[in-house]
Amino acid sequence: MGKSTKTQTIPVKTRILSENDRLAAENRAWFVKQGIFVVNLISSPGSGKTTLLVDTLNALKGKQHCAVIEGDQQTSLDANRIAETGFPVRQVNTGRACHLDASMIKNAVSELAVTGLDILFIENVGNLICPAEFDLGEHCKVVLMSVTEGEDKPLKYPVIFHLSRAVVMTKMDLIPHLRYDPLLAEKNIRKINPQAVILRTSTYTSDGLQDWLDWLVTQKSHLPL
Amino acid sequence: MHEVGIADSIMGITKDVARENGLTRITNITIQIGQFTAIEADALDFAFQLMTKDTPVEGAELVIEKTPLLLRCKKCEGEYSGEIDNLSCPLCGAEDYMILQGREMVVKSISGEKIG
Ligand SMILES: Nc1nc2c(ncn2[C@@H]2O[C@H](COP(=O)(O)OP(=O)(O)OP(=O)(O)O)[C@@H](O)[C@H]2O)c(=O)[nH]1
Ligand SMILES: [Mg+2]
Ligand SMILES: [Zn+2]
Repeated sequence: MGKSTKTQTIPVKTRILSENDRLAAENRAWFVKQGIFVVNLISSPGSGKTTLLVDTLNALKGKQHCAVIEGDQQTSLDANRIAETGFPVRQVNTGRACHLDASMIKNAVSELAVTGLDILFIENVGNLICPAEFDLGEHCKVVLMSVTEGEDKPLKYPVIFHLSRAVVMTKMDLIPHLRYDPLLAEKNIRKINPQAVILRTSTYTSDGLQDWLDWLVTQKSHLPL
Repeated sequence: MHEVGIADSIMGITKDVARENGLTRITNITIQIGQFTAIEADALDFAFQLMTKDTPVEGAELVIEKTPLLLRCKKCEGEYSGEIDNLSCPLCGAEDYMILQGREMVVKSISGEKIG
């Protein structure tokens, strides 16, 4: 039997992350419909995401209905810290994956089962590379960089700094102990993202916390985006 | 290694295309990855080779075409290939631009064997 095979080339032109993007778009449409402002917090491990979130939630108590999705490869340590604020929280353990994706958010949101939310915070897995390309359906990404990490992080991880609407310089209270130049850090951010709002915070002294809260509430009031 | 997730998505797209077009064995997958993405080509290739083992895609060549970063200045309207760590306009110094190319992550074509 002369069954012959021939080689064929099929033009495709499909975005590699099209399935994630589709789910992210569904998430976003749902968030907009519900009037929920969704922030995706991204930073290196230990830059202060959870600490800032806890202070933020405590400050927003009685003013905004908030909830949190916590992404970590392992443990529910961060979710436990958030739970102490009294706001609803879901921990998502990503296991081997170093980032959250849109389907994880979809599931976590359905499990959260809260209505009348104003702001949903998503704390991504501590990592400046992997979360960058995975749209979750959030309204904006916020990248945190602590002053102990050096001024060069925007240049070394430009994609996530480019995609973020705001950059929060955290742990500003440590400046007296470091040779860290916040102006150089800002200059580096500008090279990658001229439009980014740059905030400086310290959870130890609460400096800059009000600016951060004001920014959040303003963004929320601009919905739908 | 988020490249595992990326490789997984490429596999998914490949399986769909193979099914729709009756391809029995995949020989080549050509993708485009922009220079200004958080994707590392070597890591992606490594993840892809691991993932395709013992599948109809095993042995397929993954060709990664890197598309260079290209920007347009909103002030002087000049087009330039920006530096990855400095997107500002080298022509007039403005920090106001749009990215024309360099953010893509696309499966461009898939080749495979077909009976008949
Ligand atoms: N000095 C100082 N330390 C801080 C500040 N904010 C957080 N820290 C400390 O930084 C450490 C890490 O803070 P976390 O909030 O857990 O950081 P994270 O980004 O959530 O960490 P991962 O979720 O593991 O990526 C803790 O020991 C905090 O006490 C700050 O404003 N100043
Ligand atoms: Mg944390
Ligand atoms: Zn210019």
